[in-house]
Amino acid sequence: MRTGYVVQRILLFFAIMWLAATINFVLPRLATGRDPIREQLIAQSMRGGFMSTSMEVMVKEYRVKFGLDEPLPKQYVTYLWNTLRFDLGKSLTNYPKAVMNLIGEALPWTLGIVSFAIVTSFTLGTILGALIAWPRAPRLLKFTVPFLLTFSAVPFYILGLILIYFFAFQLKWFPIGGGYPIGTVPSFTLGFVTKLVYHAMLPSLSMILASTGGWALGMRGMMVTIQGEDYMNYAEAKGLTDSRIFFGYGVRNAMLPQTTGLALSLGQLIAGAGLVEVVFGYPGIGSLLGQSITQFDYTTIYGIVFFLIVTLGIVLLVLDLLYPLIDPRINYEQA
Amino acid sequence: MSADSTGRSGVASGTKPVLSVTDLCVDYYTDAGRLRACDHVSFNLYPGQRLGLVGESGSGKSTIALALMRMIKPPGRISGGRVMVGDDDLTAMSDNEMRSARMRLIGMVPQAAMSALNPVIRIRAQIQDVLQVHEPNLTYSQVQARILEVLEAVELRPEVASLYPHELSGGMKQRVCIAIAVALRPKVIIADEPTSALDVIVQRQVMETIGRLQREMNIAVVLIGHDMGLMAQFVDHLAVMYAGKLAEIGPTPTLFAKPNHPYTHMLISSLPTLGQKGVFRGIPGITPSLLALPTGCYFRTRCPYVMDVCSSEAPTQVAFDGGHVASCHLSAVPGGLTGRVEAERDAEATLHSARAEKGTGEAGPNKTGGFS
Repeated sequence: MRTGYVVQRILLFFAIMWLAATINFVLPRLATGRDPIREQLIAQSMRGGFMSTSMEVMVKEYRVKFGLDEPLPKQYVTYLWNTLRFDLGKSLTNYPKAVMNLIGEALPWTLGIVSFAIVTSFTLGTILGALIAWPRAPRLLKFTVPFLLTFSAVPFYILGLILIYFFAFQLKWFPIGGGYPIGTVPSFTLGFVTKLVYHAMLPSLSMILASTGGWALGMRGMMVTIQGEDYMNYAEAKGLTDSRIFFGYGVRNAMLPQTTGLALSLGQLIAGAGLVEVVFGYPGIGSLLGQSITQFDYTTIYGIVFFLIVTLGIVLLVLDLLYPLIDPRINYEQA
Repeated sequence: MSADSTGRSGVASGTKPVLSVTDLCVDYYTDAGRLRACDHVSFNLYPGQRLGLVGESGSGKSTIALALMRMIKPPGRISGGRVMVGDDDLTAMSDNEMRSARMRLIGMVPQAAMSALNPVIRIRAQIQDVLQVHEPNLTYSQVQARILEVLEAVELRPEVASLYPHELSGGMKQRVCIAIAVALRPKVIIADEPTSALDVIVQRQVMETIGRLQREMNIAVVLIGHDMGLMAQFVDHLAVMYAGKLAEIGPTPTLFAKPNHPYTHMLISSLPTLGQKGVFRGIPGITPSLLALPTGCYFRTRCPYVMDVCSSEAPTQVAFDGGHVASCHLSAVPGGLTGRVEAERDAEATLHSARAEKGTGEAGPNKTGGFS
């Protein structure tokens, strides 16, 4: 891999982050006619059953506090500087709390189930798909195709609801929702960790069931195509063992488009994971985003969106830098 | 149809053939019916011999190559016959025994060298895996030494080992394939149109390399192709295939000088020669569909010397001097094919001289395309 390319790709990453931050800055300011501070204050005072006469003073005070009285260019510079320091502002609904802290609290939950679900479904789906396409693999595997097709056609959250209905509501094998039992305090004891895994089972299962089929079908298609390649025939003529041909020649080559597929669908997977969290009331980023949307917590919404863009940007950067290692034909010199 | 012997000229009688194919049949079971892509083909190949296998597209050349490697895929299968390499019967082997025989007993240089190498692994690894699977006792350094050795044998620099296939030219890729084919010093190598994707210069160089390794290692080579010119230069025995059957087989010089099957004769006369200018004479018509073969002799629909017996009876193999075998009814006719060809030539010459008298014809009698 060429260093020039790596530098270029990292610069591109920062350019995308800058663009995302700018859009994040501009969009709420384009939404005229709604003033989140005023709306928030009105909502709170109505909850209190008392309309303060000094509402305008309070609005003004908060505007100064959030720096909204400054001219736009200055606000922009301050915003970029804060973003660079991972300061995404303070939440409107949970006021003094920083958005970054909210994200930090929700992140481990999401990271846990989403990375587990993606890694499991990708690995499982890829191996399964490759085997289905392999003529010398057990025949029985071919019967899994209709099931995979069915599951890959059902969205995550619907599958989540179905699982909740059968396994949590009817059979009561799993909890209906939440990240841990109500009333327990998170700790690193064995008992709590078991409960944690127990609660994470259904949400991850719904993600794994829904996406394994897609990976398997994609991989199966690639393996079928690759078996028509001359190098597969030649590998057989070389007298190589079946497993060497399968992994070293078949899967190795079919993995290339599969990896591209992973990179392309990552955004969708994360969005889907968010919905699963909402369905299961799981205390992750998805649920946080859901709550923020219903409560008009603008700063948190924008913070999460920006955070997701950064995450996706980093993952794609890593995949892009890894790609020439798995496909030597990719030459970045001319790119 | 069976040709029991290839020419034994130059081979001491009593020498055992290194490759012996007996009544080999390959059938493809399609929705339209069963078709026989290889029909009772028999031939023997002795150590150090080079046998050419020629024929039109679809005549069953590559099917034979795949059948010899036992790599016919469903819906096709080897439906009869025997393939012996030395004392090993390939047709009787278990799948795993056959796997270990590939490249070790019977090597192959693929048709599509451009795409035969795995695009994502280095050349070293592609030679290495064939060495490791067949000779698991080799140490790492022995394997590395062997890799460099075979690369040198095919005139490639050692640095090529660290390259990926896309970094090589077509000729280099074909050389890598040859290196893999000779890495285990098999007794027989099947080269299925090894130079079809290369230009003439590289083609010549690659054929020279195959020829040199063949001599040095005393490997028997089956060269498959349809380039009669290349065959004339390279092989010492030639087998002509038509519609899955062996039409004629014999020593190359004999076959070119005195073919005994009209198809061979027409293939040879369709070659351009330096001394003769004029219209090319191809072979009119196309190969019959294997699903709708004519009765009797398969070639009768295109044969200029067709007789009544050709449509009712399939010709049997007739042996001539020097291990030359042909299957044509003309062999039973006095004068044979040569008689017919000469009669035709005389008639043409008469026509020419008649034209010459009128002042319209071209001068000079028609010369048969000799390749001596």
